[in-house]
Amino acid sequence: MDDGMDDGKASHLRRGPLTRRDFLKTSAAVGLGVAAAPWLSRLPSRAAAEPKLSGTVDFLGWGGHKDDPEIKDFFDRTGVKVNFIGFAENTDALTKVKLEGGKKYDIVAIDALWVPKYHELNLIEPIDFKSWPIYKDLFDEFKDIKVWRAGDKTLSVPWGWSPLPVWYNPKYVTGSPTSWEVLFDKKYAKRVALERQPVDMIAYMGVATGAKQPYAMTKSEIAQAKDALKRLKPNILKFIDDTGDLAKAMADESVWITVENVGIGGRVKAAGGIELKSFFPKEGYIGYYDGDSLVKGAADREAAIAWMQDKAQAKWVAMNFLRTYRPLVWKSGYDLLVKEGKGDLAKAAMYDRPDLAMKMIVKGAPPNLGDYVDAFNEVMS
Amino acid sequence: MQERMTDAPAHQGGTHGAAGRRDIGYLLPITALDLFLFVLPMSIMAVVSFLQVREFELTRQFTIGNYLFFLGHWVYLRVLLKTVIIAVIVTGLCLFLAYPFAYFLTQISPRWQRTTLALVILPFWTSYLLRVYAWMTILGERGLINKGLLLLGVLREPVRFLLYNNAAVIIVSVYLYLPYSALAIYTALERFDRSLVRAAMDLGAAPAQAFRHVVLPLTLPGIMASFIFVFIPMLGEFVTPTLVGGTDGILIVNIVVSQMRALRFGTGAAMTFVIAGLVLVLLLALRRVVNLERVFGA
Repeated sequence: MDDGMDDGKASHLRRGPLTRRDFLKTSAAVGLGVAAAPWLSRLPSRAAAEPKLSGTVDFLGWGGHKDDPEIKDFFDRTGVKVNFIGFAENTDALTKVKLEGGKKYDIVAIDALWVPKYHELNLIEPIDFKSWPIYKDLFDEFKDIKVWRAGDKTLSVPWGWSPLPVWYNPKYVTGSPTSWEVLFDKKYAKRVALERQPVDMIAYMGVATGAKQPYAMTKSEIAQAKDALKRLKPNILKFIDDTGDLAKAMADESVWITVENVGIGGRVKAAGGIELKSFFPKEGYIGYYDGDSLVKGAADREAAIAWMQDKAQAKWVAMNFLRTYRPLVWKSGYDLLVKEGKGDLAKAAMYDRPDLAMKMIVKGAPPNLGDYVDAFNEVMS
Repeated sequence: MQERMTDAPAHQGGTHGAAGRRDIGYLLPITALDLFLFVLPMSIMAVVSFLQVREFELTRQFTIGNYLFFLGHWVYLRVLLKTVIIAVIVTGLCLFLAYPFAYFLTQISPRWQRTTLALVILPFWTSYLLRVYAWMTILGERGLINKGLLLLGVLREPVRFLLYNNAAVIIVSVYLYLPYSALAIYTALERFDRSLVRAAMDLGAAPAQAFRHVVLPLTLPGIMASFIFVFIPMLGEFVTPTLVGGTDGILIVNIVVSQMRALRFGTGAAMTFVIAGLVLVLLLALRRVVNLERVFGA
């Protein structure tokens, strides 16, 4: 019905012989439609407000971090489907992007110092982030992350952050631990669960054994970390691929100790578990801030950029927080949470302390990545 | 079928060239599929296994270092050996359970045979992953077995040795591969001519002797098919050890994946080819023991 003729008239014309009156009435309607079309097309309609997008956004994100309502909302408004592909560790995502790049993936979620590694390997495209309207919604600390700079542009759009303290179930873990040593205690055999991230596990052990740069350890430091992991092995029940699974295991009390972001306490409670306790080990701890990067040569680049901006809206940020309970980089999301009476929850998760994010030792890609993986494999094999 | 039968005299009549061309035409789709989906990827992997990786990038420099790395690391060879041992145990258990079951199947009425076969195939209606997860809810500390034993008063506290170890990998793998094993043996047993057993016993053989000297050799192709269907995929198992193996359950493919994720594509590819070589040697050895054509015909 591009000519402005409605279905009723068209079918009437098709049905019977055309009278002069019918002809005149229909011609008038068509004429009016044609005359009004350019004017109508300039009216601010909902569809016209959205940029013309097409394709499917292939988003390589952290497993368990898929927010279905915002994906559905984006599809309803733009017709663009977001295909979420989950991964469990930075090396997994890096390998996928390295092998298939923009042909397969449009956006990839990356941890802190892994971002420069992607850039070094020419896998991501710098973004003119400062020109995006959502830029102003960030906490100041995240507006210009030094290690993510590429000239005037940024290599990644920040999303969440958290330190990674040691969490424990006070019903079973006695005393008030302050050191990594609690993980090695024989009393807790098969009661520890850690995310399946070999590089990070070696890095944790590095911190526990005194390494100052856990993601750039020397061979002897790696050897020490490996020995620590050997001591830890009998206590590890399983490796976790999804934080949701960890929350369940902590809630059903099959796991008592873990190293996880500040949101796990809330997630365990939401899963019906007891209030966990946590501490920052005296030897030091690791943390992360992460972001979404545009994969170089992304097949659906424009749609991907639109999606990255869309997901940063305060309502989606707040929704993400209320599911994961770990702080995000968006001040607008924090303000909305406060406005909705959830400020205490946000403060408990340190959402109001973005300054801390820049003071942590953050996750990164070791230059000798293979040595880390070998050390892990040698312990677990 | 009709076409082939009517064409038979034409072959005899000396038009071999045309028939041959037509047969090649029939073979083209499967050959093309094999070339693109098997030969090509394997060739790429073979090339990669001889390339050096520097600074996370594949170079064009030839090396045998990837193979030497694997063969020179006792830790990784030990995992390969462990994988072979676990695969042998799983295959053995599958045969041990599947043979009597398949034998029983051939003894019951065709109606019950159909029903029982449907039950054997039933797990294939759900995803592999779901079946592994189902076992996690059975074997777990808060799982079905522990809950049942606690309820019956057999246990005071749930036991934790049922999951996240090598035993769990074996139990779950046996469950996953048992239908393949049972179906392969059932096919061989169903074709078996029972009158041969009667003849053996008429000639004075005890039941055990008749089984050993008549039934077993004649159903050997089914046993071999079962071995191939279970042992070879077990060498490539990744999901089951990852989900139920805990810190002990690492098998060789987990190591291959870890190499790939460290962007050591060459080493990962070399490991894959060592495993493939092992499978090839095994198949060649099997070929000496039993006619593989009969195995796959079974």
